[in-house]
Order: sequence, then structure tokens, then C-alpha cells
Amino acid sequence: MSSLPISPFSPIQLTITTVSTIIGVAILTLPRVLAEEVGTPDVWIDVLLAGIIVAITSMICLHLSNRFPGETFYIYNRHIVGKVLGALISVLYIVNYITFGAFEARVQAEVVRHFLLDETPLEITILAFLLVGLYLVAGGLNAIIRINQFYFPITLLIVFTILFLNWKNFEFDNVRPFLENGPTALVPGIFPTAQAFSGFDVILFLAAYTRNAKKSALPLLLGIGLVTLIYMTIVVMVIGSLTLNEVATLTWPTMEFVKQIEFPGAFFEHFEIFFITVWLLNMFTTFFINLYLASLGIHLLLGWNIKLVMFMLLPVIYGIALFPKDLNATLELGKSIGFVSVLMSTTIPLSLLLLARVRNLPKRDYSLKEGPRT
Amino acid sequence: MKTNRLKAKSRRILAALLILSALVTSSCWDRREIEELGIVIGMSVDHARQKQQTSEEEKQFVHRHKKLLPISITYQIVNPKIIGGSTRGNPTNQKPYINITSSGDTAFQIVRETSTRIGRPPFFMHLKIIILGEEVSRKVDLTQLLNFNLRDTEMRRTVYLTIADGKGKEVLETSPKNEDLPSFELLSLINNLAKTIHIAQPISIGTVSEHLSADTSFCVPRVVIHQKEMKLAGAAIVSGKTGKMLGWIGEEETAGINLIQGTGKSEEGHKGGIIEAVIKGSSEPFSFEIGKIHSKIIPSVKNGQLSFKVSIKMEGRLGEDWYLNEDAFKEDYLQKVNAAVKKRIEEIVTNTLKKTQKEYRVDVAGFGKQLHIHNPKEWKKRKENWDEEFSRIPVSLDVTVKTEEFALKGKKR
Repeated sequence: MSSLPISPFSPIQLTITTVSTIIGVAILTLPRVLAEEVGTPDVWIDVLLAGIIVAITSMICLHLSNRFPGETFYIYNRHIVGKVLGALISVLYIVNYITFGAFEARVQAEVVRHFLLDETPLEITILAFLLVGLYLVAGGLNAIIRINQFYFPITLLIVFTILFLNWKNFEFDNVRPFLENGPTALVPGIFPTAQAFSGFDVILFLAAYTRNAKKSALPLLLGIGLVTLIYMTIVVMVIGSLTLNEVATLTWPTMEFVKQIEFPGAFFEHFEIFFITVWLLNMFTTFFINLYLASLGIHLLLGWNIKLVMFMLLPVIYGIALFPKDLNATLELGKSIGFVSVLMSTTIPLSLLLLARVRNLPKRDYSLKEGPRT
Repeated sequence: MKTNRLKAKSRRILAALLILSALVTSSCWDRREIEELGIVIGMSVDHARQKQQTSEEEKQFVHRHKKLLPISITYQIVNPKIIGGSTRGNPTNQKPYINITSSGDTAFQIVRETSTRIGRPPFFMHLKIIILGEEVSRKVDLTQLLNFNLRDTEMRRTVYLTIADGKGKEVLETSPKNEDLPSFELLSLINNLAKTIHIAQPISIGTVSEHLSADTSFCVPRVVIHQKEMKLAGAAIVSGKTGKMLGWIGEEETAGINLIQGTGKSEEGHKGGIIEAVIKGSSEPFSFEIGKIHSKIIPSVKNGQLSFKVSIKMEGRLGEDWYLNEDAFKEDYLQKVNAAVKKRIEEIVTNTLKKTQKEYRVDVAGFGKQLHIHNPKEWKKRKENWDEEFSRIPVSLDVTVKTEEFALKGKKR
């Protein structure tokens, strides 16, 4: 009946998991979204601003969690707002994670269809993705953390490889002029960019299992700084090599960016096949944690066996993943999920933190207790 | 007893796994055998002329949409039996490539139409070059012509584009000198920019699409065919607004564009080549080999009047001199060389600007981009009709030439 045993992990592992959750499919479309919303080549400033906002919000999440050491958000929210409202908030988060996981699976399948397996039906690619995800998630949180930790350096390697190999395609003139319409013109771009960061709210749930959670502020800030840097460089490089007007017309600008890598010697000629294969695991790292947190929430709310919940969630996610009727509907779904997710992960933790301060919570003394509890 | 049962159990699981893996790994949805592919290296697009006698069946496809110009596409497919086989000596007298032409209204339809006539339908992953015929580029928007190539996932943005003086198909039928396929031959010609300044900067269909989506005009290298031989010479000017070819510029005007744009940082963008000039007071020519070109386009607004200054800084070496009284060991002789080269460059660039600015009324050298960067406000006022605006804006030149060396011999005696 109980959940899987979780052994506590370090602040670094918490950071890596957060970073891996943030980096997913958003990077494939982010340059186009920005080119459409803002329409000037200096959109990388938006990424920087969104990064700062996310850094602040993640600190709020950490601070809130640290008020209730050893308890995950699903449990401590009822201390602050009461059982009913707490359960409601939990359900909101669970639904968000389920749809986000489904979206990740669907976009993954769309990308695979475009760049790897042309004829394979979406249903098969999504199913394979979900089953592999389930297999790992059934191994518990520590297995997820471990694969994130193992995969993290590969992510960095692949990102910097594509940037390096594209260096000769980059033209500085394409990212100029700077601030041609004044700083206010950049405002509409901040919100869509913040969506690309969605997933950082895992801190709310994972800080409970972190050793020395109080010391994770610095690693987390560095981690979010790293994501901001990656996003910024990719946006600058993609626009700098494909030009702003062109980026706005491409379905997957970042994939086209990778696709134009040409290396003498023909070995790297079809680099995108290599890239997408490796990047798939990045989508997995986002999906795993979504599935896990959704299952954990249901498990804690209803007391059902967590493995059973995971199995039961799979068909639900599969259904949602297949729901959008075409690519546009999929991207539209992504937009609405991003919208909800950004709203949730900024407003809810902030208001809960304020409430907790006002009501001077927690009343219990947590310092006597040892080890994490669920 | 218990261990035995466990063993049996694990064996059963192992068997199940083996069967499962056999099921999963034995086939693939997207399997394509390499010998069943018709690998396309080059393709050409031309205007399809209606034949006098077309059968009823053919008529069904061609010209269904009255508005469109029917196009005919030729694919150059590698013949794997000849290329890279043991029959390198080519005893069968077969060509290492197969050219197949189909016509229709849209590119996708034409690709599929090809598979009714050739056993191995075209496969585009390794497409390297596209040659457009002159007529089709003058009549059809390149955005439409290249749409399929930019859209299909099998295609790449890095495919090079050229426009043929005549029919594109003829380029694919020339006899190659160094390479096995005419397409490969053309591909190596395109990348010879470091040797001569008279060919246009290579342009990929990705770059073409970038220009077209920003409405900026650009140059595409021109291929000339003469007696089954190809030559790269000059460039075609394509209007960014209409996406259609406006006309040709010759070799010297292409050199002018190259000089205005300067040397790029990438290897393909490196411009070398020779400038021939005559020193003052002599009638014998010398050759100046270009080493580096640093060019800048500087917009300025004075009293509401916009003007451009093109600054070209060139370094190079005196590579050949027919002047019998030369003495390159003397500094003032080199100064004379510099002055002569400077004069020649000014001539070339002025002629180029006259042709593009006044005759074709387009900006193909990126003046608009620089205005956008340095003076966004001014740009916003003029960008709607930039090509037309540009034709009225004065351009001044500022050329500096430096002879760095004069190789191994410096005077007659």
C-alpha cells in the first residue's frame, strides 16, 4: 500500500533533476514562438528576463518547501489552506503533470515522425515512449534521479556540440539591431519564454527528499542560470544563422538549425538523426518526473498503491497524447499547458508562502524529526 | 527445490524475452534497403513545353491547373552498378548516372510521377545541388519552385542553388571532367570562390528562403553551357519581392558584388582571385592576387539625405607583372601598384552599382541590412519599397589597397 522507498539525495541531484525537467521539447520551437511574438532579433533578452523571473520563483518554491522540511507539497499545502482547498490544489498539479507528460509524449512522436521514422504511426511511437517511461518510473524516484544525473553531462555535450558545429553558419548581423523598438516591445515575449521553463516547480515536491534542502538555493540558482544560458545561446544562434523572418516560418527551427550542420568528411552530414536520438532521452527525463509526480499525488491523496496508479495513469496519458487531431492542435495544447503551468507555478507557491507567513506556519516543530517523511 | 523452480522460472522469462526481442528487432516500419534507393545528387527544374502530340493519358496530368506553369524536373540518380563498383573501367559503356525527367504542376506530384517510370524512386537525403532553368526562374516565384525542397523532411536546407543560362537539364547532361557526375563537378566549381572573384558567392536554398522571407534581393551563381561543357560565370539577380529572376550580371559585376561584401569568415566565403590592372605610365598589365578583403557598408543621414559609403580594404600580393621597367623593390613602385589596383576596384564597383542600382533597381549586396542595423528608424520609413528607394540613394567609395609582397622576383634586371 505504501509508496516506494526513497533514499534522500543531495542538493546537486535536486538541481540536476530540476534542470532535466525544464529542458524538454520547448527548445525545439522556442525560437519560432519568440520570433512570432516579438519580431525583433533581440529576443534573447526575453529569455534572460524570463530566466530571472524563474530564478526568483524557484527560490519562492524552495523557501516554501523549507518551511515544511521532509514534507512534499501534496501534504503540506493542507496545513496552509486546509484539507479541501489543499486537495484541490493537489488535483490541479496532478492534472497539470498528466497533461504535460502527455504533451511531451506527443511532441516527441511528432518530431520522430518528421526526422526519424517517417512511416511509423504516431500511436506506436507514443506507446513505446510511455512504456519505457513506465518501466523507469516504476523503479522509483531514485532511479529517475540517477538517470537524470547520468544523462545531464550528455545533454550539455550535445547542446554545445550543435552550437560549436554551427559556428560557421552564424552571422552576427542577423541578431542586430539591438532594441530597435525600445525595451517595451520585448514584453510580450516574456510570458511565452517563461513557458519554456515550466517544470521548475518540481522543487516543491522534491525538496522534501533532499538532504540539506536549505543549502540547495545556490545550486538551484546555478542550474536555472545554466538553463537560461542554454536557451539564450540557442535562440541567438538559431536566429543568427537562419534569420528572424525565416525562423518564423519553420515548424521546428532548432531542428533545421541542427540539420544544416555540414562537416567535411560526410560523417556529420546527417547530424540531426544523431541529435534527435540523443534528445529523445531529454524528453524522457521530463516525462518521467511528470508521470512520477502525478502518481505520487494520487497515491498521497487517495492512498492507492503507487505502482498501480502509474499503470492506471498510462492509458489516460496515452489518450490525452492522442487527443490533438493534428500538429497545430498539438502545439496549441502545448501553449495552453504552458500558460496554466506558468500561472500555477508562479501564483500558487507565492500566495501559499505569503499565507504561511501570515498564519505563522508551521506550528509544529520540525527540527526534532529526522529523515524525510512522505 | 526452490532454486530449481526459480531456475525454471528465469529460464521461461528468458525464453519469453528472446521471442519478444525476435518480434521487435526483426523488422522496422521505416526500413529502406540502400540498394533499392535511387539516390538523387542533383536536380534541375525547367519550364515544360507542351509537346505537340500528347496522349490522352498524359494530358490528364499535365496542365490541369491552367494558372500554373507546368514544370519539368530532371533528377540525376547515381547508378550504383557503375560508380564505386569493381567495374571501374566501365566496360559496359554505361554512364555512372541516370537522368530522368518528368513534368507536372507541382514538385511533389512530379516526384511521385517518376515512380511510374523508374524502379527505384528518387531518394533525396543526399541531394547536393539544384539547377534552375532561366525561363522558369524568370516566370515562377522561387518561393513556390523551392517550396517542396524546403518543406519535405528528406530534403536539406544546405543544398546549393544555381541558375543555368538556358535549360537546367542541359547542365546535368554535360560531360564532367574530374568527377563521375556532372552534379559533383558543378558542386566543386561552386566552391572555387577562393580562386576567382568572378563567380558569385555559393548560395544554399536555405539562404534563398531567408532572403525571400525577408524580401531582400540576392544573387545566384550562373552556369553557362557551351558544347557540353559547363562554366560558372556571373550571376542571376533575383528580386526578393517577386521571387523572380530579373536578369544577369556578368563576371565583372559579380566581382563588384563580391568586393562590396568582403571576405566572409567561413571557408566557402573566402574570396580570393586576381585583379588585373595597368600601372600609370605603362601599357603592360600586372596581376594582383587578393589576399584579404575587409569591406564595410556605412549608412549616414545628413540633412535628411541618406547616403552610403562602401569602404573596401584590400591586402594582397603582386603575382605577375608584364611591365618591363618594374622595380618592386622600390616602395614608390608598390605605391603605384596600389593606386592602379585601387582605381581598377573603383571602376569595377562603380560599374556594378550602376548595373544593379540603376538598371535592375535592386539591392543585392546587403545595403538595406546595414541601414536596418545602424539606423532602424530610417529603415522603417523605407523598408516597404527598399529596392526602389535604394536606386535613388548615392553611394560613395573608399578603397585602400596594400601590396604586402611581390613573390620571388621583383624586377627585370
